[in-house]
Amino acid sequence: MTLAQVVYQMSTDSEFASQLYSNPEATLSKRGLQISKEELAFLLTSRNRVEQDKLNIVSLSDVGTGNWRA
Amino acid sequence: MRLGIGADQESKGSNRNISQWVSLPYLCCQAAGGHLEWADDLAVAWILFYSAAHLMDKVQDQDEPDAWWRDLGPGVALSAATGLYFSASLALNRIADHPDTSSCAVDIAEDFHRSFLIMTSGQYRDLGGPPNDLEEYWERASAKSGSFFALACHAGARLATDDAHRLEGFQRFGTQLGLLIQIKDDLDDIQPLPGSTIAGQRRELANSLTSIYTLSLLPEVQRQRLNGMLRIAPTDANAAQEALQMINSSGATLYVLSEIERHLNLAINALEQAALTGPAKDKLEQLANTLAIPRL
Repeated sequence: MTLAQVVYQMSTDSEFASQLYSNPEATLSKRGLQISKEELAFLLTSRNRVEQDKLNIVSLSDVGTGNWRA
Repeated sequence: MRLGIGADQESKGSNRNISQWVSLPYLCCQAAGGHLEWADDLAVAWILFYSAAHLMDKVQDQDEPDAWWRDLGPGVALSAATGLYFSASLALNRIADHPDTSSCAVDIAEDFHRSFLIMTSGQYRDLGGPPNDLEEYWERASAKSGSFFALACHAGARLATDDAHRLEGFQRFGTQLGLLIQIKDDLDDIQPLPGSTIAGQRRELANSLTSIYTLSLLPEVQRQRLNGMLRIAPTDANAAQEALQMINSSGATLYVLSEIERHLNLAINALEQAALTGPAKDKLEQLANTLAIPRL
């Protein structure tokens, strides 16, 4: 859940998002959030992709769908 | 009959259907040090069980029927699914007939039946409605899709090795593949239905990862609003649009991308634990990487 909480706060609080970029550990700690270094790296990389490719949930589904249901 | 391909052959199948994944038992058998032909009966059993489960799932979820049983009704579909289950069991029994695989046949049969019991429990939970939160979403995804792909990898490798540590790596790899496929299947639920241009106007959207993520994090008033929009979205284009706007504003795109990266990484790490041999390792990595989101 914590990764989701960090994403939600990044997406709804621009100040939190910019602080997370400049000083991730202190920013997370101030909010009582904890994610692994790997998760933080995935998050920041993904954030760049969302911005560079101007992705939203519909365009993401356009490029990334599959037809599997188990 | 050979359903899948080995490490030294090129796939011609689309990555959007079952054909690509039929190679999993073969590749895992080879990667664990076995021969391609050892996995023939296992692959047949796995695909027949999948076909049976898929058919029952469609009936249970009241999805659009396939053309062949549209006019015949769900009773015929259930009857066919039952036949597929028993055909799968027969294929599974044949593993015991071959000298190279007979010693692990009992283990593999037990692996199959336990995995399908777990999948059934996940399917049963779906009857109670959408997951209440993300934790429950991941539990159900792991029980259904994760268990199914873990089975293909673990059982395929078991044909060639009984090393518990390595087998755990194959199992973890399969679980992560299954979760990635579930994420991408959920993305598919955002796409317009055939004949429509309106995204999100589907009943399945309410059960998708993006909706569960958003519902788990929104404040109560907005959560109720989104729940209302998701309920009427299948018949109301404006509601579908508003639901997608709320999902977008909550950061669902970033969350899904991050989860795909995370699960891909876990899958590749699991391959390290499996201590793979030969070109099958590269093929398995390639298979996992087909689930990455391509750059625009």
